[in-house]
Amino acid sequence: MDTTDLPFHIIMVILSMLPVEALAKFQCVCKAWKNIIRDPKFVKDHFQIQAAKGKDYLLYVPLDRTIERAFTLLCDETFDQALEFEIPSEFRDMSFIIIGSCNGVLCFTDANSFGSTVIELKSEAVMRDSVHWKADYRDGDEGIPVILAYRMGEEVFRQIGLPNYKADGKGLVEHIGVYKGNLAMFVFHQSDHFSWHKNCHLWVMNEYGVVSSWTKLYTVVIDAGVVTPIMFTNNDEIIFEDGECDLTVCHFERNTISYLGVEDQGYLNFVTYNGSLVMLED
Amino acid sequence: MAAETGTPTTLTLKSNDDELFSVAESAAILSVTIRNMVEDGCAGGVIPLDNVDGKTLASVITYMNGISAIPADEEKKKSYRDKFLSDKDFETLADMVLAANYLNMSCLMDAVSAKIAQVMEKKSVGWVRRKFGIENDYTPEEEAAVKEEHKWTFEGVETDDDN
Repeated sequence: MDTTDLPFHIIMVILSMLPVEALAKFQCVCKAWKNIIRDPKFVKDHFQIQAAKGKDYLLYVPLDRTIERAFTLLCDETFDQALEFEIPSEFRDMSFIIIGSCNGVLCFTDANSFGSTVIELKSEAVMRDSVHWKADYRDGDEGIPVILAYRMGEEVFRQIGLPNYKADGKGLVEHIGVYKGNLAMFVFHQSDHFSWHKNCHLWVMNEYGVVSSWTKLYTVVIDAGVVTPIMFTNNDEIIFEDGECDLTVCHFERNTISYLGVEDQGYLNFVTYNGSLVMLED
Repeated sequence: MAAETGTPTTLTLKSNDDELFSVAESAAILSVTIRNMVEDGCAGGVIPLDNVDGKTLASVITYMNGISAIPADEEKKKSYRDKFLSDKDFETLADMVLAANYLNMSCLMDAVSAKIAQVMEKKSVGWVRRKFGIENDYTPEEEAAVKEEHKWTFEGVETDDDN
């Protein structure tokens, strides 16, 4: 038998299991297939099936990228290189900045259209349907550091008090994130100024919103010091740039330090890569 | 359903080319179509399956016996399904997906559909048209236009070797 006559609904099931690259190619099979593949309901179903199979990666975009090696996905557990992407030809003349990633779509903007743009490294934590930032609460002339929480859906801001970490030293820098499902704060001396301070501390808020539940869980000694914390990982670690300009991963529980093996200048963020059929047509 | 007297009930299934197969009721009722017949009491004699040929039915019964012998362990069931489908060619898989659809066996249907998707993923458009019996209804210009839109997807396509 050289040909098969599969009914339409079975063909739909088979197509919904194909990765997005194959579906884009198979639009050429015939008009009926193209119509299925571009049907909004199919696109949605396909996205859900693929999302369930999606994997988390750490996206790395080097600052001095080349056309062939523009985006790199690292495995979020081992930090091994998993995939590399080229810059699409339409964007090769553009000097772009990554804004974020959502549903398999990477958003970036043309840096030239902003003139000179300064990218600030954010310290933010997303949990319990809320985004948390480190902020300064102005009381007269004095700035009191707090965590500002914005609850999505309810669209309300609230303040969360920081732990009492005065005993950890003076001139400390705080970086917030999520550690094992709890709001966490990494406290360190920026080693540019205090390179002899090697102790860093991890505070965790055991009961969400209860200031008295802040607990200092770990104190780690980092020989090269911390210059810029980047982010907490999904595996109970923090990634930061150390005093020798290496991107370093510190695992608190195991008290181990390892190196990410990518250059320190660039963009890093967690993304779920699963390809999307949303074709972004004009 | 199976009597409590001990001896397992056996059903006789008949393919559309008149082959007869004996299968334990406990394995056969993985098919919702067969289960409904048993529950309605129409499974006394021979159960005719008009949409399945003997070769395919033999294969489906092998699957029914194999998977029902595995206790509730999704990992083991999955690895059995992978192994069961690993050596099947496209035509056999197409016959099996039709049979699984007719017999209403969702676990086999999902596994075979996924396997077909895996087999065709890297194939050329021409291969897919041949195997699915689809006629190209694009004009050469239209086809070129669709292709041009997603040029990058034609990288890494295997050369056809007809498997």
